Amino acid sequence: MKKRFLAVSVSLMLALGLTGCGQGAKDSGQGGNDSTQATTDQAQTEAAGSQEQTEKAELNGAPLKIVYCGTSLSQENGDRAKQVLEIAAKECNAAGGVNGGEVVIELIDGGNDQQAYIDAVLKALEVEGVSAVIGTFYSQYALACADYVNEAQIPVFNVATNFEMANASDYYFTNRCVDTAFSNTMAQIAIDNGVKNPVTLFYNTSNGYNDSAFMKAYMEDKGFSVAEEIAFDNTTTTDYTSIVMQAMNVADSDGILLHATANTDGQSIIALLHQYGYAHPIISNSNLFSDSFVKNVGVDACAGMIGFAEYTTTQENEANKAFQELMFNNSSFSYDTVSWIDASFYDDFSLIVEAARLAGGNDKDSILDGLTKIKGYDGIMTSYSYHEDHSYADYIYLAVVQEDGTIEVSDAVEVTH
Amino acid sequence: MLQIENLHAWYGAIEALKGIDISVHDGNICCIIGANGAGKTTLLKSVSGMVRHTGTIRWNKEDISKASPMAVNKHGIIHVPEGRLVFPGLTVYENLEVGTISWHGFIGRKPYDEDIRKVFDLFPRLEERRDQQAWSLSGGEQQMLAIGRGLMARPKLLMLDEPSMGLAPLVVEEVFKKIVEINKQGIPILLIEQNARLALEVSDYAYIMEQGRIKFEGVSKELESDERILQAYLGNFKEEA
Amino acid sequence: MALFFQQTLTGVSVGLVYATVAMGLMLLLRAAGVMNFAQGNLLAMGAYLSFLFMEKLQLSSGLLMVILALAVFVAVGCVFCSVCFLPFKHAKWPQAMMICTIGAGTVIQECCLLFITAETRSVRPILAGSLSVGGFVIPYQYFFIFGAMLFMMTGLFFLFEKMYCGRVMSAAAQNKYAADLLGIPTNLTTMVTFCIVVCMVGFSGWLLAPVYRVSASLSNFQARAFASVVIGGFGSLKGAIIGGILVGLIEAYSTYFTTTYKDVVVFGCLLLVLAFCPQGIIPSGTKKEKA
Repeated sequence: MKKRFLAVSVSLMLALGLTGCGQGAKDSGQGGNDSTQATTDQAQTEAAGSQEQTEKAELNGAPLKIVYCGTSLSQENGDRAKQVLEIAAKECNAAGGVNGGEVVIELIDGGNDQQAYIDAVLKALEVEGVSAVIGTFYSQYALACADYVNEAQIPVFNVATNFEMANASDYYFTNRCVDTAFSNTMAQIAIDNGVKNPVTLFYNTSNGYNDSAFMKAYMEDKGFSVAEEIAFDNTTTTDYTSIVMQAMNVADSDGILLHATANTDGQSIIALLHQYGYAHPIISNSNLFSDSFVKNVGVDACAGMIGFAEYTTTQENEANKAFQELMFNNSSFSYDTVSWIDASFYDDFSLIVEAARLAGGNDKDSILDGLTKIKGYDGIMTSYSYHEDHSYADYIYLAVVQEDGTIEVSDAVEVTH
Repeated sequence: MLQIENLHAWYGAIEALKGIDISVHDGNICCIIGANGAGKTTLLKSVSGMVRHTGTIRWNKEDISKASPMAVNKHGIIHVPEGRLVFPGLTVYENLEVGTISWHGFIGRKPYDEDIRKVFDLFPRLEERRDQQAWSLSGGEQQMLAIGRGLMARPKLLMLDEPSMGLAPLVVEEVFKKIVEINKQGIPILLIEQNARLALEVSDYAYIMEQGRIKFEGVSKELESDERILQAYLGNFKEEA
Repeated sequence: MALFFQQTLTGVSVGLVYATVAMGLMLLLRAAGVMNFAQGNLLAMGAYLSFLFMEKLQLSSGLLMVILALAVFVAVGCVFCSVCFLPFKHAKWPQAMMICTIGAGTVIQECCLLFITAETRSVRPILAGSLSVGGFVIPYQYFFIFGAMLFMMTGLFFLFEKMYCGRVMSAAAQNKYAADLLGIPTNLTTMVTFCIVVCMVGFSGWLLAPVYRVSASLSNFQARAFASVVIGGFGSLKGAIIGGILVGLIEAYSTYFTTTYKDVVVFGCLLLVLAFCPQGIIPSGTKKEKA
C-alpha cells in the first residue's frame, strides 16, 4: 500500500515536472492567441512592463516574428541567444518597429541532440505567422532538417558554416562565410608565413573533414602540399598527448593547420604543443581567437598563434563598443563578457529586420525577397552582402596572438566566394 | 540462561514462527530438531535480531527482544550461521581475528592471542592451515573455522545452525565431538539440526519443531526412545547405545 | 624510436590514472556489490573543485584547500552512500543500485556545471614546466600524479592487509550477512569505503585538472576504467592496476594507425578479453566459498 502510494506520487511529480519543462518549449502552434502569448512572455522577462503596453498600442501592423530554436535554452548559448534577441527586439520596437509592426521573439528549446533539434525546427516552422527562424550551430542537424524547411519555405539563418547547406536548401542562410572560404584563408595565411608542408589537425565531423580537404586542395593548387591529415574525436578524448605527438612527429612537416573548438580539444592541443616545444607556426580557426581562450590556456602557450577571427575582438572598433554598451547597459543581460556568438545572433536579427525593411513587408516571402537585396550592410561582426552561396560575410580578419596575450586583429580580408 | 516466550516471527507477510517457548539452561546443550522449513533458522535469527519478531527474549533475566545484532553480540550470544559463511578472501587467521569485533572495537589493539591459542588447541587442523585463504578449505574445515570464529567472540551462549549440513559423516562425527568439548569448557550451546540422531545424542534437552510450532520437547535421552519421535524423525529403527 | 618511448610514457601516465579510478571501482564493487557508474563524474568533481578553490575562490593556502576538499569529499561520500546504497540493500532487483549510481553521476555532473562553471577551463599546475630527458618531455605535474597514485595504492594496501579495521572492512565486503551476525557495523564500514573511494578519485581529479582541463568530458574516464577492471581481472586490486596501465598503453599505441578510432581499439580489446578470457589477465584470488 505504502509502495503503491509512493509510486503514484513519484509518477505524478515526474509528470508535473515534465509539463513544467514543456512550458518553455510550449509552442504557439495552438492558433489564435500566439502573438499575445509571446509578447506576454517577453514582457515578463523585461524590467519595464508598462512601457511595453504603450509601444504595443502604437505598432499594430503585422508583427515580424523571429523564432529561435538553435540550442537548448538552458545551455549558455541558448541563454545568450534569448537575452541578445530580446534586447535587440526591445531596442528595435522602441525605435518604431519594422514596417509599422513590432518585432516579436519566440523561443523554442532546441535540445541537446539531433532528434530534439529536428523536433524543435518542426515546431518553429509551424509557429503562426513566423517570418524567420534562427537555427543551429551544427551543420549535420541543419542538413537533417533541410526537407522540412524546403516544404515550409521559411528563411532559416543557421550559425553553421558548412557549404553543403546552401545546396540542401534555398532557404538556408548564414551570416558567416562558408567553410571553403575559411579553409582557403587559413591555407593562404600559412603560405604567407612560409609554411610549405603543414599537417592538418581537425575534429572528426564532416565539417572538419571538409575543411581539411579544402585546405589540402588550396595548398596543392598553389604548388605546395599537406604532409598529413590527422583527425581527432573531440567528444570522447580527454588525453590529447598521443594525438599531438603524432602531429608533431610527421616527417618533413613545417606547420600545423588546426581546426578545433575552444573547449577541451583546442585548449589541450595548444597547451600540449607549447609544452612539448613545438617550434613551427600554428594556424588556427576563429574559435581559438577570443580573450577568454587566451586567458584560460595561458599567454605563453598561445603567443604566436596565427589565424583569422570573424569578430573583431579588440575594443577599438566603433561597432564593437556600441554593441558592448547596448548589452552591458541592459539589466537583462546577465553575462560579464560579450562573445562573438552574441554578435552573431545580433547580426542575424539585424539582417532579418533589414531584409524586411528593404522588401517593405514583415512576412516570410518579403523577407526572402529582401534578403537578396542586402548589400554592404554594416553589422557588428563585419559588413554583409548577399552572395550566391547564401552566406553574407564580406570580410574576416587576420589575427595574431601577441607576446603579451592581446589579440591583434588586423587587416580585413575580403571573402572570396 | 536464555528464555524465549511466545515468539512470533515474520518474513514479510508470512508468519514463520507461531508462538515458540524455549529455554536454554546454563551449561546445557539444547537442540532443536525439525524438517526443512520448520522455522529453526528463523528462531536463531530472531534471537540475534536479524528478523522481525514479537514476543519476549530474556537473557539472564534481561530483556533483549528489541536488541540489535551488535547488542546481542555484546551480551555474548553468538550465532554461527548455516552454510558456514566464512569470509572467503581472508585467511584462517584473519577470519578468526575478525570474530573478535564485538568486544575489540575498530581501533586500538586488545590482545586476542590467548583466544587464538584456545581455538587452535581445539581445532589443530586449522592451525595447520593458518595462512590459507578460507575459500580453499574443505567443508569440514570451514565449519570448524566458522565455529572457531564464533568462539573468538568470547560467547556466553553459542548458537550453531546446522553444523552437519553438507558434510561427510566422518567429518560430522568429528565436528560434534568438538561441540561437546566446547560445552565441557562451560559454554551453553543452542544447536539447530536436521540430523536428529546425532543431535539427540549430544544434547541434554531437545525441542522438536514443525511448521513454526514446538511439537514435542523433553530430555534428549527420553526422546531418543520415544515411539513418536522414532517414527517421524529417526527412521523407525532403534539406536545402538 | 623516440616517438615510441614518448607514447609509452604517455600510455603509462594515463594508464596509472585509469588504474586509480579502476581501483576505486573495485573497492566499491567488493564493498557494496555495485558497479559505480558515477566514478567518472566523481573524478570530474575533483577537477571542478580544484578550479573552484584555485581560480574562482582564489584560496591561497594549500593546506586550507586540502582540508576543505577532504571535507567536501567525505560529505559527498556519505551522501552518495546514503542515497545510492543504503536504501537498496534489500531491493528485490539487484541492478537497482547500479541504475541509481547512473542518476547520481548525472546529478553530480550537472551540479558541477551549474555551480562552478559550464565552460571548459584550465587550471594552473602545482609546478609548471616540464622535465626534458633525452628526446622526451615529462611535465612536472605528472610526478605529482605518480606520487599521489603510489601513495594511495600503498595506503590502501596498508589498510587492507595490515590493519585490523581494514580486515574488518574486507570481511564486511565479502559477506555482509555473516559480518552483521558477528557484530560488524556493515553500514558504517560501507560508508567509510565510499568516503575513501570518493577521496581517492576526487584527489586524482584534482591532480589531473591541469593536464586534462576542467570539463565534463573527464567523466569519459569511467568507460576506460571499466575496461581496465575487466581486462585486468575482476576482483583483485592488482588486476585493476595492471589493467589500467594496459589500457593506457593500448590507447597510446593505437594512435599509430588511427587517431579517431582510439575508442574502437580499446573497447575492441575489451570485447576480445570478454570473449576469450573473461576472468581477465590476473585471475581473482577470491573464489566463491564451497558449499
